[in-house]
Amino acid sequence: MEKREDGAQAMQILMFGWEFPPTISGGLGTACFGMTKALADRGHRVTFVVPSLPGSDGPSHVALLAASDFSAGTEKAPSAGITVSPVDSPLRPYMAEADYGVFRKGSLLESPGHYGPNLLDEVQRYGEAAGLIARRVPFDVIHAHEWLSVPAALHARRESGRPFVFHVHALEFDRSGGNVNPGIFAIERQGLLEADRVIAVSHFTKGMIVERYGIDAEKVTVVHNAVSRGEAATAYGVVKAQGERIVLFMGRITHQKGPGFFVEAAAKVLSVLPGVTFVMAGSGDLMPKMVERVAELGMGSRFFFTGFLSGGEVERMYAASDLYVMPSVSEPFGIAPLEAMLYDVPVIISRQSGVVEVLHHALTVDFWDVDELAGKICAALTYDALTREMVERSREELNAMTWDRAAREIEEVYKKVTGLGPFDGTNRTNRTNEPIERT
Amino acid sequence: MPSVVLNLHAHLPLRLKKYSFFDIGHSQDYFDGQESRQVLERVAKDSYLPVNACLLKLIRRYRGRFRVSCSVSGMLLEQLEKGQDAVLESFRRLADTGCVEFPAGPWHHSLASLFSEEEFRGQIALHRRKIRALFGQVPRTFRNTELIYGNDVARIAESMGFRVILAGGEGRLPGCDAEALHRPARCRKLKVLFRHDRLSDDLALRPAGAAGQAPADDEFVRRLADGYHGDEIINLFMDYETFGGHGQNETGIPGFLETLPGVLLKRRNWRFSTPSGAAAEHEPAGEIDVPGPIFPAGSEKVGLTWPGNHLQVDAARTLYGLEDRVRATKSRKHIGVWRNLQASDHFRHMSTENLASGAGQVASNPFASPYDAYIHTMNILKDFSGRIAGKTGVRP
Repeated sequence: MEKREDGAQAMQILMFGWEFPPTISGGLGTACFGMTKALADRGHRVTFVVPSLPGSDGPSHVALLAASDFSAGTEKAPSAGITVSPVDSPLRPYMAEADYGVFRKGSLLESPGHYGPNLLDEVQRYGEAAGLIARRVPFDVIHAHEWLSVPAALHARRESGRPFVFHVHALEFDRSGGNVNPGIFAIERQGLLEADRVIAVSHFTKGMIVERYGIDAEKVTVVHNAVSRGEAATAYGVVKAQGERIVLFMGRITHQKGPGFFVEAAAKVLSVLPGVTFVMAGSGDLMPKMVERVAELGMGSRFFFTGFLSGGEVERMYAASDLYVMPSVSEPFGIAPLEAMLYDVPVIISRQSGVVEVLHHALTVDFWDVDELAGKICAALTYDALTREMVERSREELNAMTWDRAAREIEEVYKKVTGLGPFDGTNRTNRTNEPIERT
Repeated sequence: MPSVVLNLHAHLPLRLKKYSFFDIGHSQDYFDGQESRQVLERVAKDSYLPVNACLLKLIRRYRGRFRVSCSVSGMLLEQLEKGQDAVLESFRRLADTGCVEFPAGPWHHSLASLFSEEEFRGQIALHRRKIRALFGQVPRTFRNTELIYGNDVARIAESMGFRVILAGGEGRLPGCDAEALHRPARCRKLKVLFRHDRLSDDLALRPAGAAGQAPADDEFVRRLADGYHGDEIINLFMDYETFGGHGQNETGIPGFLETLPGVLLKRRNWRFSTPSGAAAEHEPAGEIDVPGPIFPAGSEKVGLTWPGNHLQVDAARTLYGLEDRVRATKSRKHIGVWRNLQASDHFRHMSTENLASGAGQVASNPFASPYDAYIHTMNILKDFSGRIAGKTGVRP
């Protein structure tokens, strides 16, 4: 423990994260970056452990931070309190096993949305490797994001005896649409059962954790994600034909995100407002099906697919849009609507998402109700007062939605599991910076 | 001799249908009759009937010393006539005692005073005629929608022959004594009574005790009774739904409606008056000049003040912008629809205040959100505007 400048106690946090999936989903990376930065700004020290990308040269954390950079806005460099520990060398011995590297590469990079069983092996191995990190660095608490980090966190706890906080951003139920991978489910459940405390990104997700995984509601704390406003939000002069209006879907084109409902709604909208342009940005396994359906509906001239977009393109896409639609079937949080709002784009979000808990000035629909969705898209494009009110009120709301607020709530959780709080310097314990166990 | 002027206000709008953008040009079904009937049934049972029974009991018990005024909107009277005879009858019986006054207001509980004098006058005249027909009295007291007040409202009320006007917003008028009666600027006969916000709210929001006889209520009423000795007028204006609905006790009536008159009337110097009675007995304490319209205190909290948010302003502008065209149709049906769309409730449901804390979601909002309320209203107006332009079935 250290004293912070303001006299409060600082904690050392060992955080296990995962790199961006190489698609546009990006929510997890963005969230981890915003969170760690806010924790560091509050005086805590974060050691952020990520498995390094196979085949990439040099420190992958640079790539990670650079990647979160664009999503988080203007943050150009990691804060002083964050150390990124890529776990690559410990993994090497295992990689020597036959075919493992190939499997790993395939599973992680080529089809991240569709994890195969070889990934499970890899996660276990990564976990063991991460245990070694726990011996090297001092920490007071373990904070692990997502099921992928669970074995690592459990190893670290075994090594150190420090409490383990499991942060759930999405569940296998959200991702799979009911077609649950039992291996992943088992790891998730183990994490939820063994964690000293669980953090869920929404009450929506907390409800699932309690109902589907049988976890005591008392054990789960909800900490909503935040979003940081970047300068870039206003920097894009977008060239658009006069009167052209763009309705945007941005995200993985997978079952979870409900792209089919967007396509069907588009057809309905075009039947009454023929001049509207629809854009589906992102990639995913349902993309070919969507392209086919658009062609079948004969609206190819008004409906466009951009494929996967990267940093600057994402921002430009938001800035060019008049309306953002997220018809997700099951969305634990959904940070993208907040990002759209940073560009003053009004949003329609599905009621089956966690973000509705914090976003009050948005239109909401049940994802399956294509008529309602289409009707609201028409209304948003027709009644200017509607979007004006939503955008103005959302600006106020977004200003209050800071990572600092989330970091405070996370601090409270740390306090509970470590017994170290309150962080006011009055409750010092005999813990030291020295790692306790060395073997 | 302190007087209590108790005014109870009853109004229910016709609920709007969930009217989709795709209904425009296809459906003229704007109002949800079934839903409106169900709400009316519920409120009648929880509030109108028990409160009226209680009032009748008080009038009989105190042999005329208990007096009260009941503001019942025209829109509600119309709904009562179509299927709530018992409620209508209970109002009639109150009227027959001679101790109950029925003030008039805009029939449709509209914001017409802010947008169209012609329409405002028309709706008041309608309501006045109806009260005369139903209750056999010519209203001399005027109560504007939401107690909105201003010099213009007073001028119109006086020119229409009203003698008293009930108003809100005393807290916004520095130097205005709510416990006295005032003369509106440039009026000769009209007198204005301002709602006593503190006492009205205190009473309305008091948690109801068991069996209507909570000691706390008696204590509160005793303190009230001890506090006044002169010629004060205490204007207690509240909604019928204050009694029944939320916060009710087993009898459905908060203790104070049953206990307050008893405690006060036991003291010889207190009395209950109708607005007209109070106006006849008191001279104005001074003139009150209110150039622009004012809303009662707390109206921001319930989501209606003017100018409102973008949604409210746009919807109102669209609605009242149709006035000339609606009149030009000379169609009873179109004018009726247009007027039913004017109920202030529809605008209140568009309030985006305090959404995060859930406070903006007034219990009576039939829509999931203010944005939905606005969308459905605008869809209806778009269809309606197309219809009065004679383009039935064609998208405007």
